[in-house]
Amino acid sequence: MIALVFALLFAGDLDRANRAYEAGRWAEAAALYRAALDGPGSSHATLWHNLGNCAFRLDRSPEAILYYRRALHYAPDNTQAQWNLHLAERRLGVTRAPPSLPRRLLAGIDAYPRLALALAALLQAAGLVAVLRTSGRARRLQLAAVIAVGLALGSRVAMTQCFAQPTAGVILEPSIAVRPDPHATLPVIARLDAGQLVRVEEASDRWARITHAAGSGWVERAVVGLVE
Amino acid sequence: MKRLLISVCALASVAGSQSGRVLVEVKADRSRYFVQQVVRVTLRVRVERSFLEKNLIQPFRRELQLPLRVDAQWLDRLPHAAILPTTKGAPVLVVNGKLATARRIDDGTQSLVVFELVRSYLPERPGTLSLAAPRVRYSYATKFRDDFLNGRLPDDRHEGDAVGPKLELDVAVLPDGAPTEFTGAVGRFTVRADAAPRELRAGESLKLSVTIEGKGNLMQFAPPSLAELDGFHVRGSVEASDANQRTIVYDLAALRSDVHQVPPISFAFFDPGPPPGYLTLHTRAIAIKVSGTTAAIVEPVRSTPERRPIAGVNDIFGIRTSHAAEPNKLSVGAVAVAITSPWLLAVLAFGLWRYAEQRRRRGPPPPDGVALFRERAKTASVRTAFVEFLAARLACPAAAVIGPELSKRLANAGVDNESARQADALTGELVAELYGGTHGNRSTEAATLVAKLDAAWRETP
Repeated sequence: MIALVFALLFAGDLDRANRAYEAGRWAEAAALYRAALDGPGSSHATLWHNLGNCAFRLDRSPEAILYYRRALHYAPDNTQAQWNLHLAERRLGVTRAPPSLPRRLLAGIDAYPRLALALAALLQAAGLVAVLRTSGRARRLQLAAVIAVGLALGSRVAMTQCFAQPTAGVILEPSIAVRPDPHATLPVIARLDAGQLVRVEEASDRWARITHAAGSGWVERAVVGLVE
Repeated sequence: MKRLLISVCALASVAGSQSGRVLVEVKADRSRYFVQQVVRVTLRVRVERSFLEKNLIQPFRRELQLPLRVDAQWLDRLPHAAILPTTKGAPVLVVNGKLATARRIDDGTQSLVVFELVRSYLPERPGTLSLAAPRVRYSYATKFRDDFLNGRLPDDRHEGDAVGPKLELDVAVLPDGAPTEFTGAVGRFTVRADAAPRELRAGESLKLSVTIEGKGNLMQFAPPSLAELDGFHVRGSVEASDANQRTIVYDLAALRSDVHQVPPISFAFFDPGPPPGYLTLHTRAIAIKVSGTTAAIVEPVRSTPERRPIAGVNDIFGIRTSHAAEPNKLSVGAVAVAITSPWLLAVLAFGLWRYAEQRRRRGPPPPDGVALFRERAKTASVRTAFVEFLAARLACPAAAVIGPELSKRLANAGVDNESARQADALTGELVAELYGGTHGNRSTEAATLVAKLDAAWRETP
């Protein structure tokens, strides 16, 4: 009963948030979506998507990028969030090199882990049965390659699904100083612009160690929004 | 380039006793679209001419040219897609409870009357456009009577319907890499420009007409921006359009006398293909002659014309209201099972295969020698039965069994020495009987030995 009351309460929040958004009251909608994040029965992917839209309309592009990335973390195949993220990044001038083919393949595997796992099992099983029955050396090598592909697929799925991955982060403010160690007095080794995607290796209350193409080092924790 | 049309079409199943007299067909020109690409869907209904003229009954008091009722909500409204205006046709029928017009099609057949309802949509977001199965309902009769006042009246009124196939169309977002001139045009277009007058004084304006022709979201995209046109200032623009053409007339003021031409106007659009991609067209430069100078000309402040926001083209997609369950992460157990199970299965399969292979090589199991011996002994002599038993086991003709080295051959074939010696001796005695040797019933002894030998052979791999 209590859960039902809570669900109705938060469903009301969502409806109000949607109405506020449609009426152009972005800040109010954002506050209501945030409140709904703690509620039961709501999809985080949807709420982060909508929060991203609010931030976009409020011209807070770095936040929008962070929220769209969170939405994509929960639902990687949400093409609308992908497009909105693209627009938010374009607005900030963040350029993303088109992903290489292996990266696209990895992204595809990560987006559909069940399918990838089934394919891995199929490749391995078919390859193993065939390799045990065949006699030619060249043919066995080909089949071994098939098994290796299946194993690699399975390993990728196991790695992403069963082990903790480095957290992604989004830089929320412009021209952020990256330092070699967590001390504000140390020289700046690189600067990052708002909206940039970084990998957060570790974080404390005050500092976060990040990795980015522009350099690896420490930035203030408050300027990095964690995607996960 | 010839457009590749992927037709998604299927004939409907037809319900009722008048099966096959009304057929419904739905088709789209492709199965995959992009956001803002025009989706053209055709609902075609084929009615047997004689059935239409002789049997169909008017559903209402008002007489319809086609006494049919079409139920397909997507003809009026399709979620996440805008419906483009349609041209009116001639025959009147009922669509979703309202009077509507359809277009008569001549497909060359005399026996069928074909008409179609065409709708064009502009998808507003990526995903799937679902068009539910359309239904065509009709009333018919097989017997009529003539009434003096009301004319021909049906005696037996029946209801029939035909259901068409449902259609699902994929909609994808536009790819990255749009040129800077892109303002949201999706389709296949051509562009041309003209200017008048060609001779003017600095400060005066000319009318630059940019005509965009083609098939696509012609009315949805923002017109090409001329804000950066060097030496000119856009004072305003007006538009005129029809189904396949849109003309934007810019009021261009020449700012300086050293301007000799209206430079080429760039127009970029996304061509859905195949192959899909962005294209940028340029109009030709238009030579003009600007004379004199006017001191009063002040370079105006440039302002970028407001672009009409189009979700998926130059604007974000709206909020999401669906709360689909998010996929949970796979458990370690599930992943481990999925990775190890193929190996276990492969080992199992290999084991089974090896077992089957061995069985195949070994051949079929030998028949029960004792039974064969007893069966043979009933019709022939004990000697013949025993010799044939040995011949079958030694894989040689019966005549070749009897010989000086029989015990040795039997031993080589897997029989222990004692049994081999006994078999050799018994064979000798049985042959001797034939030539007048000792007589006696040796069948029991022979049967015992056969059982012994048979068991020995069965144990031999």
